[in-house]
Amino acid sequence: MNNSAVHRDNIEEAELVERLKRGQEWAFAILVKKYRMQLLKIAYGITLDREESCEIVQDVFVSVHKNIKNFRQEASLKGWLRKITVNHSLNWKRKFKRRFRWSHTPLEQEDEKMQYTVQKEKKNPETAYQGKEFEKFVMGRIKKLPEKVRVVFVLNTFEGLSYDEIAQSLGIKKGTVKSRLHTARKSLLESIRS
Amino acid sequence: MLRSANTITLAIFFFTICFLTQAAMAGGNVNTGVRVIHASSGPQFIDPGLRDIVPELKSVFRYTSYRLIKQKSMNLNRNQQGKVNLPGNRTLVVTPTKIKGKRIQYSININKAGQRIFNTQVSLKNNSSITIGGPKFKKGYLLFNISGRK
Amino acid sequence: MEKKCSQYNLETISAFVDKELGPKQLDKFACHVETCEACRLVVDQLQGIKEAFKSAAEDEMKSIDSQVFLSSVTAKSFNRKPAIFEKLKEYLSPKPILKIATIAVILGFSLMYFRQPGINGIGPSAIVNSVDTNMSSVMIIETIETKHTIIWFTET
Repeated sequence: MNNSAVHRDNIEEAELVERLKRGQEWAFAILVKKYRMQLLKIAYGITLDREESCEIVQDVFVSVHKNIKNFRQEASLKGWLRKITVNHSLNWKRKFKRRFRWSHTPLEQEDEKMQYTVQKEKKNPETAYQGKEFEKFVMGRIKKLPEKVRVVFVLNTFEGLSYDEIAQSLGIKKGTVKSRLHTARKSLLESIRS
Repeated sequence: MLRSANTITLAIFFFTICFLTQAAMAGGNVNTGVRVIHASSGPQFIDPGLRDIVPELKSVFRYTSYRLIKQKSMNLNRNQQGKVNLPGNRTLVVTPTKIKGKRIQYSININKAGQRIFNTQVSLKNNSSITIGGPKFKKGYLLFNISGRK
Repeated sequence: MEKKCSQYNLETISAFVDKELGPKQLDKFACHVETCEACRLVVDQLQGIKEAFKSAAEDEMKSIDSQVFLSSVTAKSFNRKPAIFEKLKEYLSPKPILKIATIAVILGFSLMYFRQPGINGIGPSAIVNSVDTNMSSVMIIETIETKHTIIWFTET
C-alpha cells in the first residue's frame, strides 16, 4: 500500500465528511469499509436475518450518500449512521414479503431448546455458557424478545452505549431504557435457568 | 398455372393444420402437473427437478433444502378429478372446472384421513403454476406446486 | 435450584455489568460479588449472553463478502448501470435510422413475447377466488419477480 492509500484509510472524520460532500468515490469506499461491519451487526441484531441486514445496510449507505449534504458536523458521523441503521432496521418488516419471511419460523428452531438442554447436560457448568449451541440457543430466545426491547439490547451489547446514549439515540427516556434492558435480561436468564 | 394451384393447395393445407391445432387446444383437455416438495432447513440441497421454482420459493421462504418427493402429470378433462397421494395419509385432488380466456379455473382440495381439510378455487394463468404449502412433514413442510396448460 | 441473593436484585447486577453504577455503589457491589455465589453466577450468565449474541452476529456478518458489498453499494450510490447496459450501448449504432430499427426490433419481440398466452405477463400466476378451510391461518402471497402465487396454511 502506498503512502496516499494509507493516508486515505486514516482520514479524519471531518475530512471524510467534507470529501463525501464533494461526492468523491474513494471517500465513500472508506466510509463503507470503516462502518460496514458495525452497521451490519446492528441491523442483524434487530432483524436477525442475514440477507435483510445486508440489504438494509446497503440502503443506509445509499441514503448517506444522498443526504450527506444535510449532515451537520456537530453530530458524530458514527451516531448518525447508527441512527439511520436502527430506523431502517425497524422499518424492514413493513414490506409484506419480509414480514412473511420473518414470521415463518422453520420447525428446527422449535427444537433448539431441546438440543441446548441435551448439550447442557453433557457439559459441566463452567462450559455450559460457551460454544455454538449456547449461541444458537441465545439467538433463538433473543428472537422472541419484543422488537423495542431487542433494539435497546442491541445498542447496549454491540455498541456498548450508556443508558443515556441509548435513550438519546432512540428518543426515549432513560428509565425506559433501563426497564427494557431489564425485561430482556430477565427473559433470557429465565430461559437459561428453566 | 400449375404453380398457382400448388400455392393454393399449400395454403389450404396450412390453414387446415392451424384450424385443427386450435380446435384441439380449445377441446378442454388440461395438462395438469403436480410436484410435491419437501422444504426444510437441512443441509443445502436443491433438487434438479425444482430449479425453475426454487428461486421463487427462496424469495419468500428461508429453507435451505428443497426435495422433490413426488411428481405426477395428468391430462384432465373439464370437471375430471386428478388425485395425488401425499405423505401423512393426505390426498391432493385437483379438478379443472372452467377455462376462461387465458386462465384455467381449478378446484384444489387437500384431504386428510378422508376428511377435507383445505379447499381453494383458483384461476391459474395458462402455463403457470401455484404453490400451496403448510403441512408439516419430517422436520420441514410440504409444498405442492400445481401447474396447468390447456 | 439456583441460589438467590437477598441483597441485590437483577437491576443492580445489570447496572454493574453495564458499568452504570455510581462509584459508591460500584465499590459496595464489587466487594459483595467477590463472596456472593448467586450474584457472581448472574454476572457470568449476563456476560455469557452478551458474548454469545455478539459472537453469533459477528459470525453471521463475516460471511458477507466485503468486496461484493462495496461494489454493489457503490454502484447503487453512484448510479452505475450494470455491465449489460454498457454492452448494449456499444451495440447500438450511432446512425439514427439504425437506432430506430433496433428499437423497433426490440419492441416487436417484446410485444410478441407478451401476446403469447402462458408466458408470464402482468398479473399473478393464479387468482385465488376462495379458500375454505378450518385451519388456524391462511396466507396468500405473491413473489416479486414473477408474481408466483403461494397459499400458505397452518395445519391444526
